[in-house]
Amino acid sequence: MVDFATVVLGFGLVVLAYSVVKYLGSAHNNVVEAHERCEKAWSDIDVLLERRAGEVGDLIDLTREHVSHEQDVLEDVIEARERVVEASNPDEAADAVVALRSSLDEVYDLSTEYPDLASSERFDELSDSIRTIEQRIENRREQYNDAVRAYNTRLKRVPERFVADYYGYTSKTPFVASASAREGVDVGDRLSLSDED
Amino acid sequence: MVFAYALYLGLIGGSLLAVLFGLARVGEGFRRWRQATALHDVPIASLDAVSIGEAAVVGRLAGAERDCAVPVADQQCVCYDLEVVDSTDTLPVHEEREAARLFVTTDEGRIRVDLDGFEFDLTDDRTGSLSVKSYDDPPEGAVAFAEEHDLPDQGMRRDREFRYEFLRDGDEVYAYGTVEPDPEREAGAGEKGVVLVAGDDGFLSNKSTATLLRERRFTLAKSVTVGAVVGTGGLAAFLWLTGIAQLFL
Repeated sequence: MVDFATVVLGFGLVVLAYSVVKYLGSAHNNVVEAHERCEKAWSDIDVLLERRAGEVGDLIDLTREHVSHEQDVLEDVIEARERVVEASNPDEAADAVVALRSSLDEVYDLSTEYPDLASSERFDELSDSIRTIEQRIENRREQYNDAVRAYNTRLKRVPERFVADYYGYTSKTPFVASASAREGVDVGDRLSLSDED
Repeated sequence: MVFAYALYLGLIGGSLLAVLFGLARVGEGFRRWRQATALHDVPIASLDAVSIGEAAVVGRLAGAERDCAVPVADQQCVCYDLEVVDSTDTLPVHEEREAARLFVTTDEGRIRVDLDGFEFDLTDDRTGSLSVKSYDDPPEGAVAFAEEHDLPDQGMRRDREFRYEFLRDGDEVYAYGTVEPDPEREAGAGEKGVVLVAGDDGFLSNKSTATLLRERRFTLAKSVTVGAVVGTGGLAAFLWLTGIAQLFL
């Protein structure tokens, strides 16, 4: 027959075992949730990148109407826009975003040279809209990077580390532009090229 | 003899409560641990880029309407939480939460917060209590409040305590919850039509995130240890006092 001490200690052990099992289950949930937060934060950015690509497309059409002979600048913007649309991960997107921002700066500079373009109400609307979206992308980029930092930290902790190894979760890369992307843009050269034209 | 019976029943009731307390303490530990996880893992949302779903926001609390005041206490506020606890009852005899239409604001924007279901974790200067012993003359405000809310008469055996928490306009707060489309969105307000609701684990505090994290450090280990020890001790006492233990011997 079971004795008294066994019953009492058994109760204590059941409480402890329940806590351990729940803790390990929660550790798994923590990894999954942290991963989902990264995915959600990225999808929030992705939506804005698509919206900006649409606005940039309109801006290209409008600019082409006014300064169709500035083919170099327009082609750069179109190419950069396509890179952003096609980007499937933060690494690609970060580089494409830097290139697109640089190309857009050139379009804004063109507006100072072509008063017709600058005086267009639609041009102002699109420029403001793109700047607003860019600010939102910047804010969400910070949130994404915070989510990635928290996720990567969790992957290094015990017991989440073992859970992540077992289920094959790997660390994520923050949304930052690579050094080559920044170095690769020389706005000054492009502007002087357009001056020669 | 009557005293001995009362003491005996009291000890049995106390031991049973100890078991329940132990189990509740374990549950509480997990709840605080989930909060610590949220504090660590959920990024602070920028209020001009907050999106639907789980979110944490930090900003100043602002009431869109007139301030309210904590009943029975001379404290102006934008929201308060009040519970009335009588010495004769295990559960509070009255609970209420009052809030103006509230927003968390930052330089980037603002978001409406629906306080229903949010757990408060406030600093000492935003909490208080008023004790009214059964033999005391209760303050005028306490009498009026008891009449207004039809609270039981204190008589000569019921000590009463009013416990309250409140927040003032401009208090810096951390709020964790779920962002949803706002059904009360004002047309043409020029801001995102979303509201922060409590969801499953929403909590709101006027402490810094560093303080909140520090308070929750090792909370799970401590709670499980205390819960297991108290619960086991309570069970042993209950089994022994009720004579069930003797059946095993």
